Amino acid sequence: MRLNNFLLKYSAAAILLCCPGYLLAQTNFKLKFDNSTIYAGIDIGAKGVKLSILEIGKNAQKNGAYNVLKDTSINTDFISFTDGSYQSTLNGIKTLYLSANNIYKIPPENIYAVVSSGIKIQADKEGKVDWINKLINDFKQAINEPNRSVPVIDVTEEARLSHLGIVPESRRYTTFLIDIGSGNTKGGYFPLGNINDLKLFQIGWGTKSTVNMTDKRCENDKTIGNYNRQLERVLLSAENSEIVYAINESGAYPMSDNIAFSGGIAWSLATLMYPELADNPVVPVTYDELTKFNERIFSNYPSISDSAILHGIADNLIDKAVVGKEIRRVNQVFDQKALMAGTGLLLKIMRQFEGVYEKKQFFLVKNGQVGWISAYVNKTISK
Amino acid sequence: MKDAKSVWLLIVSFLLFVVSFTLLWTWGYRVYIKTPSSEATVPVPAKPLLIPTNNTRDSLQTLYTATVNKFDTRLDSTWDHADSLKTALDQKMAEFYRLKNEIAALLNNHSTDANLNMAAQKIGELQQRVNELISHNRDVENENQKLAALLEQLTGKRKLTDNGSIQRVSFTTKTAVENTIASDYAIAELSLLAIGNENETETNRAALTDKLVGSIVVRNNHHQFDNSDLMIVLLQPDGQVIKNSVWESGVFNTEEGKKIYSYKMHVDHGSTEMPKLLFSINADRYQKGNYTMQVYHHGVLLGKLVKTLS
Repeated sequence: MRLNNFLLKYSAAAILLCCPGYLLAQTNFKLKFDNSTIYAGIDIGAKGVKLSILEIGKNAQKNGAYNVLKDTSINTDFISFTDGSYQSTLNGIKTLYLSANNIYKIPPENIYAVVSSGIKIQADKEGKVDWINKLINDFKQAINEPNRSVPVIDVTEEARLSHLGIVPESRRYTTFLIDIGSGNTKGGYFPLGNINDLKLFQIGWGTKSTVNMTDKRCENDKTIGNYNRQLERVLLSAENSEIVYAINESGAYPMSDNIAFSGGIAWSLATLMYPELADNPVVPVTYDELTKFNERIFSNYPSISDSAILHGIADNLIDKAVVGKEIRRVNQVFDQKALMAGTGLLLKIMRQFEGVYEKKQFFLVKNGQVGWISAYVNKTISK
Repeated sequence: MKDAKSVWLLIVSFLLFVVSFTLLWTWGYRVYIKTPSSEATVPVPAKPLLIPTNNTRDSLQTLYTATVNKFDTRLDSTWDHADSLKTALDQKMAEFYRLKNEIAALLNNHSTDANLNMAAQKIGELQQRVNELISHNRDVENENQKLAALLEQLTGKRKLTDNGSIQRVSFTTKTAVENTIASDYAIAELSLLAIGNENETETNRAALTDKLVGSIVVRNNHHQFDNSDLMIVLLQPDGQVIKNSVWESGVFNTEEGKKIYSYKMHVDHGSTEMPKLLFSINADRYQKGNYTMQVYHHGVLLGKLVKTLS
């Protein structure tokens, strides 16, 4: 047991040492706000476990003032429901918890863990709900906290927490939050002026599924020109079959002034289009700006490399090293085809809100995946 | 007795001769002096001018010429820039030319002293008209300078629209408010107050500041229903832009490249009243020093002010 604990601590330290931007202790974090508190959230997902460390300011609910200090994940593939994936998931959770507690000095009461909707949906389908309960109990035992709460959240609660965590109070009832994932797109808004009733929105198209469908249509011609032609057809099909209907059914158009997009593609576009706003977790964008940038991705892809973008920044107060690093990260995660697919999907959704007489304000949210922690912290504290 | 009478007759005859001679001589002189080559001097009547007639004519001619020349040198520039003031100027010019012709006619007429007197009076009047025209010309030139400055600003704005770059609109920064006219909008009454966290009262101390509250009065110069946005850039002492909320800041283009705005204010000109726009910014902390508030429209700097917190 002692050896096991030692190995866990050692592996946690090893993982964090390998992470870029490693910081030795909580006091070494570069904090952004006065009177802020640091929290950690562990998201036990279908494909892996993720640790996010956040600085939450005193005006978090009012202004959406949270600052992502650390974001680390371990791939575990829990939904394959094998002994190996179970053990690696359990070890991953324990490793991340110990690193938050021992290395970043975050007290246990400020560390939250939740099981995401992806696991629950798959477990329900396959009748493996007891695997989830066992995982939670084993985790509590491993960290010696039998009374710890590790809730399993469904897709509606996930969307609700994300909305509460990301969107500030002042825009809560006028903002439609849409998360474009890899395999699907989901989101919602509060139509009745209270936070209990969320109108959920879902479509079966995400960035990766759009890329896959386009690649399939390209057949033997793998040129970017052919990819672009086929992508237009795929997106047209998605728009006609699902997007138009889902948006109309949601009733969000007349109820929302702001449309906020989160997910990987939103982070990528915000980083590439607005390097000057590297510090901003949310950036405003217009339909025209995004259309032009989409053309640039296709016709002038080298212009969105880190060196090309940094060359265009005139403001000396901007930390070019930090911005350049983030741009490189985007270009590693999303290649040209993925960027085209994600941007195209985003534009198709935005188009539904681009009225002739009434203009909506669009936003790109960079760290939407950690927004739930802020809401969860607030919810727990207020109890 | 006969001898005494003869003497008296001789004396009377002599006197008559002398008188006749004098009269004849005087008549002959007057006929003589009417020729141009004459250099003789004749006493002149006591009024109205106590100067010899020819000197009067010469000096009037000189005065007239000088007056006309003096005016003519100013006339060209006035005429070139008259524009909207042309109607009033036309009237004054008509009067000027009328007087000029009348004086020229009087000076060319060699007949009487009365004509010379009248010429002198009209030259005096002409001088007065010329002074009025010069004064008027000065007003026109001042007006032209103002219009040229405005035109330069508008040209600068057009350059931004056409080429993505504009001429610099510069202002002298003071601790007080700076207003100007540029772009489609004019702004006035810029204000930036630091509000303390106790009793919502104004403060000048950074440590006591809870929020910064700004206000602007906006006027649409073109009186068109142009709904548009003003960008507020609030720089803290270290040069960084203060962001109220990440949802309210963004990027816009200026002549100096992209800039980050702290707050975007929508201007709705559906009414003819000049709206007073208010905003407040809550920073997490406030540094000591100068806070600069800049107001932009379509990338053009409309005005700025500096607020100091100690």
